[in-house]
Amino acid sequence: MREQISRLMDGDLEGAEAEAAFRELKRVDGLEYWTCCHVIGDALRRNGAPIAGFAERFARRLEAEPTVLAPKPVHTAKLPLAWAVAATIAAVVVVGSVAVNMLDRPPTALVTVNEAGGVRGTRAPLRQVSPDYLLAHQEYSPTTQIQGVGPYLRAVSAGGVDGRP
Amino acid sequence: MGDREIDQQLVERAQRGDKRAFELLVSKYQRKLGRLLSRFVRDAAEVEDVTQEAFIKAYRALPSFRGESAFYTWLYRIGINTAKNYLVALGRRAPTTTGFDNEEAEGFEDAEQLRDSSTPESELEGKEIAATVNRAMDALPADLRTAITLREIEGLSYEEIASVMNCPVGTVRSRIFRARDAIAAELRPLLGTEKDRRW
Repeated sequence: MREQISRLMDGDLEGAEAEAAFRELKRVDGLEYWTCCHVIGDALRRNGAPIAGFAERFARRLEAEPTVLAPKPVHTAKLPLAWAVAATIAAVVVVGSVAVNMLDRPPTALVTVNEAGGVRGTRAPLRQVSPDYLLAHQEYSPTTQIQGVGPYLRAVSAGGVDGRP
Repeated sequence: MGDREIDQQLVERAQRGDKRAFELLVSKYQRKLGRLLSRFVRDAAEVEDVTQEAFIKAYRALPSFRGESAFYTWLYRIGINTAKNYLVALGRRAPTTTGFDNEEAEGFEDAEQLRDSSTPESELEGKEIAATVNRAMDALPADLRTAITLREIEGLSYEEIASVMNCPVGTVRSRIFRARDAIAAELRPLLGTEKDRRW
């Protein structure tokens, strides 16, 4: 029992062995050994001296406290490896099946191309637009390189006294 | 599993309603936290009160602990706030700085930087414990003494110690346990197990 606790303190136990050590720590002698080992460590590191009766007094206070119960943490960030593998396989299967389906249909594709060849284009009639409208909006015509600046360009060029800009 | 993972396991057990798991954390950190808080509160009885209060506050706040920082870093912050609030309630001023920030909290082990607020009696007991541990260390065979020193003072893992001592990990495991067990045998009568005496 003591060796398990010593190893647990040092992080040398995993899984079932760690569980067994935690069970030992529920016993009074297990708790005492744990405390004793930590006092040794603190004494060697000069990390403060123990206070007599501290644990006992604290245990009484803790007993009076309502037991805390925290909700189980949701580990959204760390999906198990199995889920990642399953998702990868599913993605490969879906993409693969779509690709295979496309390759398996040359006759359909040919029919579509043949049908497309038979379609003839038609010319849509032009809408009649009033010449006044076109004159009024001439400066916004896409024929000028910078649309909307025509009026300003003319105003500047007309400003010279002898006709020069 | 490292030190932080062990604490995390104990925290998770406590969060599931296992009070004993929290007692194990208290037993592990009460000296370190008490020593830290003695920088704020000078009187030994007050240090114990504030330390106990800090642990109780930590217990109540356990549902909010998500393990984003190490348990001791979190506990350190609670301890500092408890000490400051205690001083404010008494109309006393807290020191402007502890000299240590949160990141340093885990490595906070410097004996010289803090003043102990111990009574003559507790100081004597502390010295007796230190002397007993040192005496038991001196009495250990050299390989056991080296192994426990590398583990407890240098903080090396079993694998690192095996590499330093040029021996299998299993041998390191056994040496550390035997060293601890031998020192504990000397120390146990001092620590006492009777009621109202548990450390």
